[in-house]
Amino acid sequence: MSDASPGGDATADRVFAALGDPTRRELLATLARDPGSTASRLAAGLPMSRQAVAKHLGALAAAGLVEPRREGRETRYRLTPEPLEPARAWMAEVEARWDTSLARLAERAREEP
Amino acid sequence: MSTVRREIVLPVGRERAWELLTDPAELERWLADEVDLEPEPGARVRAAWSGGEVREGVVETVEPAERLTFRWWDDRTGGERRERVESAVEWRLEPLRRGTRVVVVERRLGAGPVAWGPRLSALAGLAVAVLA
Repeated sequence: MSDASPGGDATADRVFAALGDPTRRELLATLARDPGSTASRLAAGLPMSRQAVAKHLGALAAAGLVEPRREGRETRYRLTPEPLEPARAWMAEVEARWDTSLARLAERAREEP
Repeated sequence: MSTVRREIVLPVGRERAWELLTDPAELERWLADEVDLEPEPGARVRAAWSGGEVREGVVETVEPAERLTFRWWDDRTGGERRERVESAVEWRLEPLRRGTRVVVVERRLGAGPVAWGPRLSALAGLAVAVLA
């Protein structure tokens, strides 16, 4: 069902925490479209400084969602979406469980008490 | 946290809907194969499925015929609190002209709030593509 590794659920928690900010979600979406962007280029599309964007990128990197790579004097970022998988799997599992339960609830409701 | 929201309309009135949500005999017909749940704050929750899954938890708030909330967690880890994945569940009844809507919200606890929209789901889909 979920990760067999002991850190599996802690990793998913870090992912959820990293994703809990709309700016960081925006950064991920932008990087999905424009892989290899620098913090400066990402900041150009947002109402905040390059330093602020760099902090958000740090949080995303800590969650394993982006990978920085130095190229000369620049650091470029690419999306590494693998850590999203446990989070996505948890959501899908919970949705499926409730869909099944609520269908049975509706069926029971249609019967005589 | 991440939040799952599901709803269904039941062709019954509010009182009967509340009974379906809080009577253990009824709960065992839709929630899980074995259910212990009393609509009392602090009451223990236990749900077991024939596949072997067991969830334990505790009831938090009870507003009769309106709302029930509880926390629960997967008990497979043997009860080690720091390892378990805990969720907060809310059941809410909304009376309609005909029938009652049941809204379920389950929030994963332990991290900041996340609202999953279509774009984020698409990003998550990237993970599947990368891993394939």
